[in-house]
Amino acid sequence: MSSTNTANEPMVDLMIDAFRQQLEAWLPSLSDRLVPVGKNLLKRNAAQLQTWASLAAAGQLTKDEVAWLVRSRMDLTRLTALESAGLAQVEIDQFRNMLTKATIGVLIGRLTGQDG
Amino acid sequence: MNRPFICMPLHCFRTGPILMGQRVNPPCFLALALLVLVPMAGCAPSIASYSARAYEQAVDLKVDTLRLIERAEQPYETHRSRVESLQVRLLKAREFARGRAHNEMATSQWDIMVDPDGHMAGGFLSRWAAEDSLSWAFIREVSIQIESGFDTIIRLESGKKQR
Repeated sequence: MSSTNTANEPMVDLMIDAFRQQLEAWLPSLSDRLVPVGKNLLKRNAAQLQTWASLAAAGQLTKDEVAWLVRSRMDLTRLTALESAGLAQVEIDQFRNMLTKATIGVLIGRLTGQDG
Repeated sequence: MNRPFICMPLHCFRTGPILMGQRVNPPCFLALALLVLVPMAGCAPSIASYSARAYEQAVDLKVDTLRLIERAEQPYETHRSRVESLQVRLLKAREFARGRAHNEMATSQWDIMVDPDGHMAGGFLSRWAAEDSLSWAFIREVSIQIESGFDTIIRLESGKKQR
């Protein structure tokens, strides 16, 4: 895994440089905050990007198809973020239910004078 | 005293409960109980509960979409009716998600999945229609993405089962 990451690093570094340049031109005030976010995203998808680059180099994918796949990867990232957010809501609901039950239990215990 | 759930609160409201070893006066107790219980009881769940139908729908659509996508090397016209039927089923799944209360996350997921201008199942079917047939390497790579996309929808629905 680490050797794959090492092999992908030059391509990812080039992408990060291009991303940083675009951000500095378009959104200079947010550049410092957004570059690490983009860097993280690109590094997580580095292996996939490398596969597509290799397939394109071998003539099995066109540039347009690679661009489509990259956009598809971004859609998948959004889907994953929504899944994580939804599952976090489930956990928050569980925590709230547990807290409500515990509070009511303590209150009833106090009302009846049966502590603990 | 055979009905403690009725008699006990009435007794407490009349005389005040004993809190921290001291009897609280009844109005203070009532205010405290209302302050604690009303906001908690009034909170609706922030996310829809598990739906077996939504889960089955997502699993069926994943399998059917991936099977159809495998055929995108062939001319679109050959599979037009199957594609159109699948598009309708995808839209129905999105509408089903949209109709459920507190289901914004799953609805947004379906929006991405079915969008004909996007880059998941809906977008792929549009591209197939526009280009008539697609390369095997592209189909294989897109299948991996779309399969993972459906998995996020399925995992979110099954994650609600814990509640």
